[in-house]
Amino acid sequence: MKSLSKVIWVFFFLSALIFTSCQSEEKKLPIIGHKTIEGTDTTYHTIPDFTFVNQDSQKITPATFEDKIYVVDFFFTSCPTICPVVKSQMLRIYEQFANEDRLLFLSHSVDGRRDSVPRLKVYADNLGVDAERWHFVTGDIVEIYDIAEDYFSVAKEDPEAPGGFDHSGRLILVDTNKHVRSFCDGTDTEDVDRFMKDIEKLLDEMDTAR
Amino acid sequence: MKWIRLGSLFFLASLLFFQSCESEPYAQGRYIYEVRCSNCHLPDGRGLGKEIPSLHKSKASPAYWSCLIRYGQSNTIEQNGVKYIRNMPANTDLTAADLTNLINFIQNEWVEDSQFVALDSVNQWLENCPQG
Repeated sequence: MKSLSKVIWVFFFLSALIFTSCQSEEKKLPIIGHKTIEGTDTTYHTIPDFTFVNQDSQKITPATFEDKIYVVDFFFTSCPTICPVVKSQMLRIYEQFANEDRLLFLSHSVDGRRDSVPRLKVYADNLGVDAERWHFVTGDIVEIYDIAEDYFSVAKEDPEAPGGFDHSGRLILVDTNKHVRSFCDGTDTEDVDRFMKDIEKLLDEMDTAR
Repeated sequence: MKWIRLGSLFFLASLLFFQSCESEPYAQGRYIYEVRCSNCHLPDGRGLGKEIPSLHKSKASPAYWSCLIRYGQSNTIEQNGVKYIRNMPANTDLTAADLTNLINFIQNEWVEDSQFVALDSVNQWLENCPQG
């Protein structure tokens, strides 16, 4: 009897230990990208300035995203490969966070020739999304290709690629400080599920920062 | 005993055979769909809003589909009151047999009250395509 109660106590103690350790606080999202440290100052990878125009001919700059977090991708409207799948996943995110004003969406077109503002307007309307929350932008094509790198995405003209453009299906999450905090493969449902949890984490972070 | 064993083995094998055929009709059509169509019309066949039409509950006839899938269409396609401005690409390398399998897959999957389409019918329709 004595050894049995000892076993029970040990078991109880061990399971309490395991249980509490599993409930440890979830870590914050990392800040992705190269960082430089000078003395006590750390400079993180930051999205640079940009000026684009959206489907309503509104000028879109970093100021558009002040105090907001946003999801980024690169696409073109006549894309025959990954874009419809990536867009349908983005729509899933958009609908999931339909009432979240702090989350915006920024889709860059990599096709400067065919994706004019009117075409982007039709595209956005066809997807049934609100232009105040989801910006479809065009602009100086070199600026778009360059900024793709800052978003850790690929975007360039390639006559050999289907549709004529080579671009990644990546979705990137940017915080209120223009830092990249998460990304996922927009063609992978499970990866997008994980990405949506990261969006929640970032929104929670905004809550606690207030 | 030998015959009973053999018989029951045969019975089991045929059960498996028919089971697999039942649970996966038009597997060839599904394969073509996944490789050639699901990029745009998406794996669930629902398309993308008013950019790319959904294949669900389509009222288009298999005759229309035979020609459309084979030859594509570059002017506006209208379906269920929505005008789609994007091109439907041609798939001239798909044979009449491929098209038959594909259409049967799509209809079986997403169009209620649809009927099985035979290769002979598809061949006839293809001969009378407006585009061809």
